[in-house]
Amino acid sequence: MLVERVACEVGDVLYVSGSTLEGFGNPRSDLDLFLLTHSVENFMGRSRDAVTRFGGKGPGLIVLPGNPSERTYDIEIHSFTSLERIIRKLADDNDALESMDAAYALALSDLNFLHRLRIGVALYGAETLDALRARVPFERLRSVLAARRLTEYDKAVEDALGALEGRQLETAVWNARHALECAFDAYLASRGETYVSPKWKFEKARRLLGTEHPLFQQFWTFECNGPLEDRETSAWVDGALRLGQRLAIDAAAIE
Amino acid sequence: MKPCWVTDVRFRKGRRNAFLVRGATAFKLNDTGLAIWRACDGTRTLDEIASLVATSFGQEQAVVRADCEEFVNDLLGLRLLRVG
Repeated sequence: MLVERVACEVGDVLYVSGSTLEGFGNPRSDLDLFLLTHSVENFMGRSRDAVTRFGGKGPGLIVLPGNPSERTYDIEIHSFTSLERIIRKLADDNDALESMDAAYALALSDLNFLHRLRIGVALYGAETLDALRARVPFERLRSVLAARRLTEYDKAVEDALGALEGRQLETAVWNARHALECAFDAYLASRGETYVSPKWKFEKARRLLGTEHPLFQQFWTFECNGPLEDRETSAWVDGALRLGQRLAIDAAAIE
Repeated sequence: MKPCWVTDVRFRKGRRNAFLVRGATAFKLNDTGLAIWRACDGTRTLDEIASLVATSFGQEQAVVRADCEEFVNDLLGLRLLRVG
């Protein structure tokens, strides 16, 4: 029924992806549909009727009413050409952990798109989807995401240490916490948690480590507790930065 | 002595090389140096580090111990490690 509503043609690929599929969703979560087609313009033409009939809110977004769960379906439409461009950039031989250009060659939206391609379940064009996925070097997605967060981590560490030296204690805490978050994100990405959004960080960490894991517990403690007194601040910043460093080293050490 | 990483020293490992970076200076590590540095997490003595590295590279601990000590001392001198 969904396939009919979004007016798929032979050669198109339609798949469902997103947080709901990963088991992270909640009653307010959208169901994310992705359509890969040879011509976005052509698709928009033939789907105009579907948009009209099903209460669309404009190009690229079709809300399908009448679903028993009243779940909203968001649709992203991509051309095969744009996917090929993303695959080429990801497959570039430059080393993301050594080269900032390589780490930032793709936009965050492209990386998010690749993650969703990786976990997507086909509704139409399953064989084509499998063939496309077989060509994507998904292991590079891990290292690119880790490298990006490690770059932010570096900056935040410098900022935290500078603030600490200047006795700007609150700023030191703020930046140390950010450094730790970046390091934790890099750690998660390096181990295959390539969903970009910070929204599900807790769920990703629980899935990867389990809540009893010492790294998870230390991270959670720093995330939820700041220093209460000025005299505690230096030690708190030092502890947060040390935990961040351990996570960053593990993240950077991925093969 | 339990050598420990220094907070403002960053570690980067690409497909080809591993580096320790402090400010604008980068120090390239070979495989053995990398194994020693990674073991210096502040919880291990030199003997324990040598044992870990010896196991990783299939060497006798006695052979590795002296090299470990020399390398760790070099890193301490360069402030790429500190004494935990």
